[in-house]
Amino acid sequence: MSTTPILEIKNLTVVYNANTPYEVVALKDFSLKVEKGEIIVITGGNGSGKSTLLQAICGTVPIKTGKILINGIDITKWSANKRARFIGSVHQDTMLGTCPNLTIQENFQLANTKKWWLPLLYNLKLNGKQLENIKNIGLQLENRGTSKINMLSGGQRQAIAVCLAFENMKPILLFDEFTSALDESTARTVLKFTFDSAKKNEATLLMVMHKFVIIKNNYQRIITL
Amino acid sequence: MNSIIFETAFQQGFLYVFAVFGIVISFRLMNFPDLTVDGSFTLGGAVVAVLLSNGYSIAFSISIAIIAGFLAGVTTALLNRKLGISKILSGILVMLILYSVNLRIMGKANTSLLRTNTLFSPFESLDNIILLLFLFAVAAIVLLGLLYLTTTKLGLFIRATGDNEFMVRSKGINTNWVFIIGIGLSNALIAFSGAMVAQSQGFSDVSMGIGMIITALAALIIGESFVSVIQTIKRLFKKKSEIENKNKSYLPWDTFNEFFGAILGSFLYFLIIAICLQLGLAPTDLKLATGILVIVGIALRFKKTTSETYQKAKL
Repeated sequence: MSTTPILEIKNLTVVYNANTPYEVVALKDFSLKVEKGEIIVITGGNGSGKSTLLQAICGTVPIKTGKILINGIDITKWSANKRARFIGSVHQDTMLGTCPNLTIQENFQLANTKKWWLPLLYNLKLNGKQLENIKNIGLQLENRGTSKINMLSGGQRQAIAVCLAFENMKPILLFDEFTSALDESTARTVLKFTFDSAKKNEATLLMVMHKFVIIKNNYQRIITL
Repeated sequence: MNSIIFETAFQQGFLYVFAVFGIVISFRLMNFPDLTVDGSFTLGGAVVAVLLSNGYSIAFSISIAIIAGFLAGVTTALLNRKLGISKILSGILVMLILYSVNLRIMGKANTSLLRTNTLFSPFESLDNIILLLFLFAVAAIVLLGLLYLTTTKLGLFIRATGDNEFMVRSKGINTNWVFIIGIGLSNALIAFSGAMVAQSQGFSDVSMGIGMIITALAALIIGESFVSVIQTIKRLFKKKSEIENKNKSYLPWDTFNEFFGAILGSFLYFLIIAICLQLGLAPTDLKLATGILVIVGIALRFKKTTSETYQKAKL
């Protein structure tokens, strides 16, 4: 019996600057089926469309043709924030994943619920699970809940962004070269944390990686673009 | 220098402080350089003047003025979010449209409130200090409301959207709504300020809002500078451990300080203006002086500091 794949991409084409002299075809007729709980590494040369693929799934770049389905539901026309119900993401740019002028704690609050009419009991500390997650990324940030993100280094910000992606667990996680701002040992710790958390929550993980030597045998599939 | 200068500065300061609160929300929290201000300030005055002179109650007239301001803000936000017009241009467009709308509302260039019962009529026979206390109470209530808003989820979303909209959207929050509510609220406060000023001066004029944005910004910049000076002085007298404890506070003190700065700045701005006028500054040069004040204020910060303040100074 075949089950519905959690993520299905049908004949996806993404074109930047369409109908202009600067037209660039970033992805052409790309199709992919991903089963629940799979960990997939996407690799390829610079400009091969790895990041574009993840951004197209997130809904942050417009699609020319093709369809994206999550659990059989067509989400191609959904806005990025609507897709975020199913998709958690971390981007290569360390500035994108967190709000710099808010504290670590406030960032976690932000990731936790989207209901704006709820009152915020402002003294909410980070809960046990959140503290454990921060501990597991190994940057000694667990006592700095009230520090603003702009007081942290790029790598620390990125580590927090990874923790935030595991808040309010989403079934699909898209991580785009998220370790490039981290040093070797932190990268290993953060990767281990990512794999462990994804496996524990049975999340589907699509990650763009260059240095996939350090991932060893944690992935199920490699896709080269 | 006599006490009248102080009284006038207090009175003006408390009338205009709501507009400065509005600017804090749009310019500082939402990072949205909203130029609707000049129009929505007059809109508040025009609506309240027309309704009051047609015999409607004071509370009703002010409420409608606030709603009108909110709708003006919503229009600006919608132009930006739904039609892709840039932040600055959408503000300018709505400001321009509101000039005609305000003329339509009033039917002429100004509406007098001299023989009409206004919020300030009961205070005419009383001592000025009672009026000041009343204005202080109104400002305090609005301030408390805004501080409360800052500590709610909506307040957090407003601050976060101004900070990194991309991230907020990727967490599943519809930032368009946050923008609409935030800019609407900002303009509602500004229209409220316009309604208060119109009643206080006894008329509403179609040009009363011109340059409002710069006035409010000047007040805000003075207030912020003052608050940062107070903080520096406080730090000198505090022990290191106390500062660390303060840094561990869960409340968003930076945002609170912006609002406190708005009140202080609003008062100080009108005090400076009153002093300048008494020293012989021609009233026609007032806008020039205010403009120079804003330029100097921003330039000083730009010279002074870190990247964080640099971003703020860029506006």
